[in-house]
Amino acid sequence: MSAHRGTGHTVRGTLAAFDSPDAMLEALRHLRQEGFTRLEVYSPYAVEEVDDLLGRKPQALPLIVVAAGVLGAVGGFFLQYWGMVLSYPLNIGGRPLNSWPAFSTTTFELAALAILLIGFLAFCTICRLPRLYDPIFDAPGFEQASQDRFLIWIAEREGRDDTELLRRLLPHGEGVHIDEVPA
Amino acid sequence: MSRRPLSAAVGAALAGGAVCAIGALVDPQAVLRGWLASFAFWIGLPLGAMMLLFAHDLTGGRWGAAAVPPLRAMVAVLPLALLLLVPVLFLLPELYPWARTAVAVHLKNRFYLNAPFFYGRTAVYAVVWLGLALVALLCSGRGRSNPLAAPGLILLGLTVTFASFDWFMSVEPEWGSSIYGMMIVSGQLLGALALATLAAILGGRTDTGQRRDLGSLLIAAILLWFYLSFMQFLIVWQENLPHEIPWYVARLSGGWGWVAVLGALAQGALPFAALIWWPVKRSRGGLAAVCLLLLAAHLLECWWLIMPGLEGGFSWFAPAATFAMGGAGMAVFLWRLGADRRHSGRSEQTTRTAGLMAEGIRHG
Repeated sequence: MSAHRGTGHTVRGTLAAFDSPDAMLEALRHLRQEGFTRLEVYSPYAVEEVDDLLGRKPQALPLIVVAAGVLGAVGGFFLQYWGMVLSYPLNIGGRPLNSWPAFSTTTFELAALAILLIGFLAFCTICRLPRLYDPIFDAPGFEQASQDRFLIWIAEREGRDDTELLRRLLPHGEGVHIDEVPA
Repeated sequence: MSRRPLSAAVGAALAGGAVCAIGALVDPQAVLRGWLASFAFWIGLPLGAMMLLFAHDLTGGRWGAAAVPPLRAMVAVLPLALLLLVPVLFLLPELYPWARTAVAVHLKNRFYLNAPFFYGRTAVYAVVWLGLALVALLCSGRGRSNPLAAPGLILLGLTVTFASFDWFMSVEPEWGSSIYGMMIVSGQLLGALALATLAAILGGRTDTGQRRDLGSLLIAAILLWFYLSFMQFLIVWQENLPHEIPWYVARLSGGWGWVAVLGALAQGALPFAALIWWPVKRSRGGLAAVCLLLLAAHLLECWWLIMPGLEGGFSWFAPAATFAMGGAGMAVFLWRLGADRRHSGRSEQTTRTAGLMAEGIRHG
């Protein structure tokens, strides 16, 4: 498996593609009830409830973003305070050296910049991005996950043959497409 | 609907009105000062509600299911709110320096600020708003398309801007700010949205998704209000010009300075910080508390905008006038809200009876 080092999918699995998010959620619920734990959902947009069903805990991203904002605001204000008050005091139109209303827009902009840069990097890290290759990309129709399909990947459970169980659990017919995914 | 809030509202209106009436015999200018400052708050609610209704007609959104009934009830208060301006109209020279001949001769903008033109403009605002209120009550939030939603919003933007120039900004006739109108509009949107959210929560008609949407809209309204208010301050402060800065000198010195800080915290930083934390946005009690805080802070802002500019400054008749107007307005609001609910309840019942009858025919 050395070629796929770092990817999550080193096991075989089944990929079920759904036309609608509701059908996908319904199938996901059944799978969870039957005790499937190694599941992954791919969808064109974030579907509510998926995080709860997959048992994902809230990440630290909001806290990181708030911390980045505070860092950017404090740093941005200090940059101007240091320049105008401590390092090179300059009387401009008789205004006080610490002209905080005038500093406020730059402070805000630097806070926004810090939020954006740090937030983006933290988001990528938490989402395990960038990842250039994953075996699941080879699954037929996987590219539709970024268009209009809602996919569930179900990992093969060691020492068990779930083919029969999955055939029973996953719906058949229109709007569903099921494939084997190689490791 | 229980009768207790309704009778409390009528009681507040009578008590506040009595205090103002007695005060008018002693010191009419002090009463009018408080009256105009409180009027700025109460007229904003139906106007803001109308803008939100029209915006919802154009965009839709699940927040409407919860917020539209209270917004419609607020629009129904508009005729009463307009009547509350009548005492001010009768006693213009008591409040507006430009209405006094001694001051007016020195003014360059007399062509605009004079009593006949002022009355004419006020009449135009009243006619336009009453017409739009009728449109809002007939079309908005009833599942019908409202062809006047977009033109109505443009008309409201223009008329409310000029009304705020005339009624509120002209207490200091030598001072002018082009951002002022939009700043007032943003405060009105914020106040109307806060009251609608509060009424929807207390009426028990909100689900988690609607509360989250209303909370997000409140954040947007807070940001808009804060941005406009701060930009006006920043520009005037930076320029530091003798004909502009006195407006802020009066409003940032002494006790009013603390009011300004309190307003920036209570209508800006505090509710913003509370609403970006999603448990507050989702919970009934948290969101209701934020709405109450926003309404109180907005009232304070209206007082702060007007009273420091008038001779005598703060007047204790302001709270009395707030109770008088708020009590009367709330009585109409609650009555309309109850009438709307009975109406929708009745139509629901009719459809149910019709369904039963249809079933009966089928079975028979």
